Amino acid sequence: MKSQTVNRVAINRERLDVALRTLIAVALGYAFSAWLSSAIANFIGADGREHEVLVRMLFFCVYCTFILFTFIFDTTKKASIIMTALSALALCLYSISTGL
Amino acid sequence: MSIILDVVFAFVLTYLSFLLLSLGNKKHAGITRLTSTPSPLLLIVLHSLAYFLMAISLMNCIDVWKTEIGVVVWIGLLQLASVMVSATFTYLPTLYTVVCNYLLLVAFWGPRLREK
Amino acid sequence: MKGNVRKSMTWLHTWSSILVGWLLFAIFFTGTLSFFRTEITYWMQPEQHAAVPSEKALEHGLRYLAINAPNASEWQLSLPDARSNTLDLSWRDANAGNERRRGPRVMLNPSTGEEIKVRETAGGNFLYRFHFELYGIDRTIGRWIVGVVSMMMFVAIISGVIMHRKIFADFFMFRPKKKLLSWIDGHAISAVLALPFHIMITFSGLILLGATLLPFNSEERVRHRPQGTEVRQNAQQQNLASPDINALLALPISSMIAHAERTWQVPVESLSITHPGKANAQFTLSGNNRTQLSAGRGGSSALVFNAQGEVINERPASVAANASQATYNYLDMLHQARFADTLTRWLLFFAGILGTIMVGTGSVLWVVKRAKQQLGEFGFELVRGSNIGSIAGLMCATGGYFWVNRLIPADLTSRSLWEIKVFFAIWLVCVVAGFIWRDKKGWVVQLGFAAVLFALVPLLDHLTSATGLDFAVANGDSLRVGFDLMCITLAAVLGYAAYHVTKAKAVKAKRVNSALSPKRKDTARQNKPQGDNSEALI
Repeated sequence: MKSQTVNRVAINRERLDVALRTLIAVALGYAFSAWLSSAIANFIGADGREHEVLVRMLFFCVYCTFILFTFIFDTTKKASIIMTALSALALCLYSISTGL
Repeated sequence: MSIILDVVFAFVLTYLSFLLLSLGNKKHAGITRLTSTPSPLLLIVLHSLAYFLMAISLMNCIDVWKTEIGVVVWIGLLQLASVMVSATFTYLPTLYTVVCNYLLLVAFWGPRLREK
Repeated sequence: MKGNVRKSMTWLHTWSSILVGWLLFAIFFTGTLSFFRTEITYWMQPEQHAAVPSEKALEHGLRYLAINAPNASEWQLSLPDARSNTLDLSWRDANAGNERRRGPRVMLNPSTGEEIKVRETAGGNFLYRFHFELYGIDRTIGRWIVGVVSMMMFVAIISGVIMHRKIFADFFMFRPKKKLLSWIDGHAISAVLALPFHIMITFSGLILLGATLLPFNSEERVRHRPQGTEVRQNAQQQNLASPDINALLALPISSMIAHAERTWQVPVESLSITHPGKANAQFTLSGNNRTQLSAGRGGSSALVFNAQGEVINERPASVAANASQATYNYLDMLHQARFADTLTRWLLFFAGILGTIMVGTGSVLWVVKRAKQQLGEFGFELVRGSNIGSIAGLMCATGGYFWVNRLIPADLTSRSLWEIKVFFAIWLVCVVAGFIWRDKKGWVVQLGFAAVLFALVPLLDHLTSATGLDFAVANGDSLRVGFDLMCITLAAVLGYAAYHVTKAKAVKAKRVNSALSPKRKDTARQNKPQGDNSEALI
């Protein structure tokens, strides 16, 4: 009985890990990709249609990379800290690029 | 008519080049005169020849369709040729052996260049 | 996440693809068919089958326009080409001004000049639209769903490359008759050998949906604006007298066409005549002469002639304004294959078939690998059942779609809607049947049914078309004969698959235990070999 309880706890913890990583990958990843790709396009000096298509292409490359990395880290804690920090950095870059 | 000949020529070159590349696999090389994985030197020779044939095929495609579309056609032919090589080895191993042996011309070099 | 990079990528690859594999297969399959949507529509409008390309096409077209649109400010003729056997005419009325709205359109038989009235059909366009916005739901929601699924596919492709341990060593390896290994090899081969295409088609599909998926990024702009620096001439408003037919036919249009074809080395596909019948008439000829995909949709040049047959203007192909636009245009054109000649289109189609096989084998592989350990578990049985409906069922639905096109009356109102309804009805029945008969019986029945449907398509075509197949063969109607041959090929493949499944060892479907007892779950988990996610196999 004890081993069944332990297994159930482990399973639930694993599910929580997966859910958290998925949330980080999807939601935070979308934001990160949007900020970073927009920042890059702004720094390059693209505007109008060029800005739009450049952001589109960069966004999906960055997003895919973000998702892959979120699931590479050993622990969910490490993944959430690093990805959140990166997202904050991307937001800073975006703010700087729009401020220019 | 000439475009058909160009396409066939380009395809045959990519097919032959993939045959050469496939010889790097032990099972593929095993049914040819090599009977085992090629030595590093022979592997370099085979790969160089394969890339050379691919390059000629690419130049041919670019000549017919110009650069941007020519590259697309070439990659399409590469994909088709690689599937044909896999199918040849799996379902027509005799044909695979015969063609590879001709490509290798190892009647004279095979015993010396086989991996020990 | 799982200890090392490869294991993590294996886990991610499995889950990002299996959750949406059922929809991904449909998107890939209908998308692949969309490469030939014009040809599919041609087949589904058998009234067009009597059309035979002819040298008299131009004469018939001019005669018709002179009689039926004498006061038009502009005539447009689309000549028969590799993808169309009919002569398509349209015109713009003199009082239409500079509006971009399409004028009346008519289809003629190039050899006889008779007007062809075609039946209403959903045609290949239904499959095309379904593959990027689904059907029956709000367009934006449909695109969001397809976009999310495509993103998961993109993640699956990249993670699949990372997890594949012997990607070069096993590049050409296919081991038939090895059960699980055969499925793994089939999945790997169809994925790796066409990897450039898979990456391109998924990424380009995502950026094409970018306007929907990235609402923060879209700019307000006029639809259908050319993506280069092309300048369009506007038709001028004039009162026009009826053109003299004999004068029209005496014009040196044939020499214009010959000049253009000599210049481009490709056939002229369309001819536009402004101020027809007047001394200042202009003739704009265009064809599939593009050499630059990076130029976008305006990448073809056109030649403009006067009534004396002299070149007065060459409308150059547009040029991308910058590198980003050029890259975007390149991917846009590749995805939609608007530029493709016959060979290129068939190469793209072949790669699309490999992609469809990749998705299908991946879904089946997941089930085969876990059959012994997870039989009876809800998730396993759900995937097992949905595989049948989404793969074999979709084949049945597509075959049924082509059948119903010929069986329902040509003059039935809203017949295109009926075609679509039957498609989904068959698919729904197959999905339900797949969940009920989840073992090999389900596969055999549905694959067999689809095989019969497709095998009999040529006979159906012969019996229900305006002309028989002998007429098609005699007149070199490659569009129609090609369609029928592909149906026979597909029937052979499906039939062989059904036969193969009958010989396979049956894994009997058990009643699904929706709430497994903890004891059974733990026992199953303890007995499960380590490295569940194919680490030992790839």
